[in-house]
Amino acid sequence: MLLQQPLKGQAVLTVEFLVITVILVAAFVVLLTERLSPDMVAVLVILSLVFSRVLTPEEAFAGFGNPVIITVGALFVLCGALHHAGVSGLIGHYLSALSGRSEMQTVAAVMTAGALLSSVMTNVAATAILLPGVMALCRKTGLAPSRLLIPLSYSTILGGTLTVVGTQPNIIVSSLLRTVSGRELNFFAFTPVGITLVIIGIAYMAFLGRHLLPVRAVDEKISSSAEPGALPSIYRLEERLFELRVPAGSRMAGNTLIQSGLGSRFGINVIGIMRKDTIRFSPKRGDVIRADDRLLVQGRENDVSRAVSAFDLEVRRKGMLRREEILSREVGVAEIVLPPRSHYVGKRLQDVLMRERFGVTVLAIWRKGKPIRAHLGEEPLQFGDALLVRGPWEQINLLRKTDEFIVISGSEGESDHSEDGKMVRAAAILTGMIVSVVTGLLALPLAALAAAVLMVLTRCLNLADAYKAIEWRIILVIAGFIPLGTAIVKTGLVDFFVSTILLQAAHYGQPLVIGVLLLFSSAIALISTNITAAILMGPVAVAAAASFGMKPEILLISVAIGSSTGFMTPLAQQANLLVMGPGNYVFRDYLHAGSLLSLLVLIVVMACMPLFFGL
Amino acid sequence: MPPSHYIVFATLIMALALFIWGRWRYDVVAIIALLLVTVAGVVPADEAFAGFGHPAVITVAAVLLLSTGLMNSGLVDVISGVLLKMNARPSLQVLAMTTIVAFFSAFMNNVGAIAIMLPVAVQIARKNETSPSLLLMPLAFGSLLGGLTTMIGTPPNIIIALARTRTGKEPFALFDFSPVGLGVAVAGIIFISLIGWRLLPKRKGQTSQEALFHVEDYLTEIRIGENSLIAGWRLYELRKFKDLEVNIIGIVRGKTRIISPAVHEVLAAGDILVVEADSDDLKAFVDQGKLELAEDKQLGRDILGSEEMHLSEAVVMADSQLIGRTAYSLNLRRRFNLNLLAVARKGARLKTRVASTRFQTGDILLLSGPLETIHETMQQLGCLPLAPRNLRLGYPKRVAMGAGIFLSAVAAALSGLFPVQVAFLLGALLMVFAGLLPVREVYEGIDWSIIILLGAMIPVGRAMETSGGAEIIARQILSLSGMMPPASVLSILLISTMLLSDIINNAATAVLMAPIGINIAQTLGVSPDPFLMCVALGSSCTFLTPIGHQSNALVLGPGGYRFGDYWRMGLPLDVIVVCTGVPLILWVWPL
Repeated sequence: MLLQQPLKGQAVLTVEFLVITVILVAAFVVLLTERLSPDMVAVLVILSLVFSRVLTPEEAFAGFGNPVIITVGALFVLCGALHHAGVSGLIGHYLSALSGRSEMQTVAAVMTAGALLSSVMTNVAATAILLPGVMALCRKTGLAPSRLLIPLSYSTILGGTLTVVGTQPNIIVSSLLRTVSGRELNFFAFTPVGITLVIIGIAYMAFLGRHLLPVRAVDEKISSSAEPGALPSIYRLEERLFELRVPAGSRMAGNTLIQSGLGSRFGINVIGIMRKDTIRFSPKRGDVIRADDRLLVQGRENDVSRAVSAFDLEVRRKGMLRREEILSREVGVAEIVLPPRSHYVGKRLQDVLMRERFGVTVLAIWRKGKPIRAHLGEEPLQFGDALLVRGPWEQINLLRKTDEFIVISGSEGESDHSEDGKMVRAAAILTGMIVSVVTGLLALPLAALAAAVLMVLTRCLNLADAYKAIEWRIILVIAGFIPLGTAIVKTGLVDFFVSTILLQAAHYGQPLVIGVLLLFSSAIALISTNITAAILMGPVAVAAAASFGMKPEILLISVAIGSSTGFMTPLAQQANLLVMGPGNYVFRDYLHAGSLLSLLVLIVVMACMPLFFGL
Repeated sequence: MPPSHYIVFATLIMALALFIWGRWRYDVVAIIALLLVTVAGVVPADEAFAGFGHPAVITVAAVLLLSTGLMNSGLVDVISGVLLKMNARPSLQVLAMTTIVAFFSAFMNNVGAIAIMLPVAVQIARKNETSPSLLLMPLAFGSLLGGLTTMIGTPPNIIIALARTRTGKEPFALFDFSPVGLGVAVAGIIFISLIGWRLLPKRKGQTSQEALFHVEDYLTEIRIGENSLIAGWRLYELRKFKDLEVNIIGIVRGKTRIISPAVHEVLAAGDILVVEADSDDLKAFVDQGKLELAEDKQLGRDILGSEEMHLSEAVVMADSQLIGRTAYSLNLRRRFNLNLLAVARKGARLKTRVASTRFQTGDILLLSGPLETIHETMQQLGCLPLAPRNLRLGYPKRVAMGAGIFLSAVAAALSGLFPVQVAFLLGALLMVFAGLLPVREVYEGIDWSIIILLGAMIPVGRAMETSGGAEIIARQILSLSGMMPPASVLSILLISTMLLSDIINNAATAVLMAPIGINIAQTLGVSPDPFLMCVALGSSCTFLTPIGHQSNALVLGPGGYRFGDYWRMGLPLDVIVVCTGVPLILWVWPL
């Protein structure tokens, strides 16, 4: 093949070369501006490659038949099976055994769990499974969540470099190696460098990194020790609570909640309706307001006074509510987070119908370090938002069972119980998959697919849940960008890159080639996704290895690590974004803690890769 | 190592057995088959997954997306809205419904077309007080017949169109299927509306709401007296009555009504509980709790009429996550805010305890829940509401845009400007940009099981060809049919394809039969086109059983049909398909 031969001089400038450059740049611009989601960009890439006749339709759609797709899809099912089999229960036990340790020990222990779990699960799934347990641990021990959650997300990112299936870029470069050389990366090819990275990462976070993280909300969020009752004060709710009476002559009497327009016109959230001695919490939109009712509302002072004058209401009380009005044996508040898979991402809160559907009221949204408390209904939900909800405990516990939310507080001890057999079967199937790959019995895609089917056949998860576990968006992004990877090789863009930038680096020694590739991969991952970075930089690594006489494994693994280890912004990795709300982080927290870690990763990879593989 | 075609045969026989057994769904079986042939080395590991990138798979997915966009645009509502107003004789009703569903399914996927028309048909039957069983099977068969008429009408056609490239020719074009397909569809529809529906059993009124789900039958009002044991209890404490399944739908306390009360609600003397329970449980509950019956039917009706307790019926679809579970295990009430009031199966309401009934495909559920969310929740659970969907009228711009995008995609594909899969994918993308297909719905609009099935079966089908298996089967068929003329061979191929597709998925049938058809033609030394057309026709004609096609399965419950009802109308229809299909094929696609 062309790629395995050393370069013969400068690549030729052709029309195709220009076309592909334009497509590439356009794709990155769209991804960077976030005008379109990555999956839609992927489809556009396929279509533009066909229209520009750079690729034939067969070549352009070949990405969908690439073994990477099968491996990634099957691994989603495996991940889902582990989840359904109750891996989170095991994690809960492990974490609850940690209480009483120092912060340093806790950080190390949480990170170890995160790294191990993420070596076979996707990073974001591993983070999501650990998140509730870590939050419970914080409540129990009084440690600040902001000191534990970034370490958690970093550990799952680092853990992704432990095995070939740890994260999607690994699978992509492994499959690329197979197409160019006929051999796959060994299942544990990443492990030596991965273990080094995990150990250094844990040591760094436990000794130094955690001090770079803020101790945010420790005095507020955790002050009343195990009490979820402190939550409303963190969300600064008490200053905005009012008790309004509906006098006999009010225009509001007789209207339903929705007709009154308190939410839609005034942006006021009605938390409860008090009638005589009873309070009806989480009133539904069809509930009728009567004369003499008292409404417990939450909103901006001027919005409330506008409503008061519009409906001739009386303000009975302002400010602090009695605790028993917010909390009781049956009713409580809890913090919930939207995982990336939630159907409600992008929907306005009023369209989610939280009260009708789940019987809870949203009191506030926590986004980017600030609470949003007024005009909640209009607010489109975003991935990474934390919501403060209030409702009967039984409803809050039911929220745990939907896939739409992760409940991270207010835990009343009800952990997921699963049949013991399931976990054993799931673990056995997973081990079987690894063994058959390591012994060379089956290629990775076949082994993963067989394992996924076995999970369904042994009822570790049912078929509907298996399909639900697959993230089709990611599948589409991979399938869409693979042809672009083919095209940049075909048009000579890769050779051009190698013969210019990398050739310069090669003069200063091979570790620098590794370093440059790693930096480029992380930069591309930062502006697009880790998948696109691995797909585009993979061919570059292969070409560079051929022309500089290096082992392609070394450069491909470096590219995969560069693509997947984004620490410096919350957007670099879904795992980072997931902990942003619960940890009460802002952008610069990631920069503070992550810069040095990124540098460490760079140094470790440059120094160790030649050691582990021999140049 | 045995010859590779033995391995392929063994795999196929196993797959066939698993398909018939039905324990595992067709997509799982297809993956198992693919894994077997790959591990055995018949399919090289590098090509094992090429099927997922096959143009047929892409086209099927893109057509599913276009269907969803078209549905969202409101175009189909405009047409079905006109139909609802119709008042006519049964023959004409059947004719109109079948024609329209056939028209829809010519351009949409069959199940999508029937999902739109099923509620309309049920409403028409109720309005005219006829049995829905007379309308629904014609509807299902109409959707199958309509699928025959274009390449995008049904996945088998897409597969056959592309299989033609194996004979060194261009793929079939969009409307290449129309001459034969239209002919057969018209003949079929005429038969159904003139004679066919009369052959159907008249299961009168079995899905009419009044007869099946009689409010008085399942809601009871109970008064909590002063001496009652449960006065002062919280609702969850009722769990102390072990083994009693009593569902408290509402509490009436003076003038206030508490609908779907929370479990910590305190029960007071003087309350009236509106409960759902079977008669034994109810009696035990009244006895043990020292309660009294309050014969006030109006209360139950009022509660059910309210916005928070909207009543709705739905059919459990084949891919629903409800199947095999119970309302109790799913925690329907708390998790989804749905009350399950009754379940009907095979045209009759089940007498067993509702909450512990294991759901099956085709069950009709009577559910209540808040008006705003009930339909969405039902769809989320994989149920098709039987009430007509909210007509999305009054958006002429959306309708025009949907139709425009769809027609442009068809035109682009027809003109040969782009390959079909590119044209339709572009169309789907435009639907997204035009706001007709929200990004969230993109992935939900695709029936993934069919994509996985095709992706996995295509390499298996190819293995059958490359291993020489297809040739062996072709020779067997030819040697059995002796020195018969090609027309007879064609009929035999058509009939065997039809029979095969009655027991296994129609797309899988097309994948497996296409190489056999091509091999027969090559052995005979004639053009493969008529044989391919024949396989396409046969794969879509699954009229004998409810399991052959999802469309048939979907009407099983609402029509109150039994397994054996299908062949009554299906067998004569099969005969008509063969009698019109074979001559048409020979005429349009000469040997």
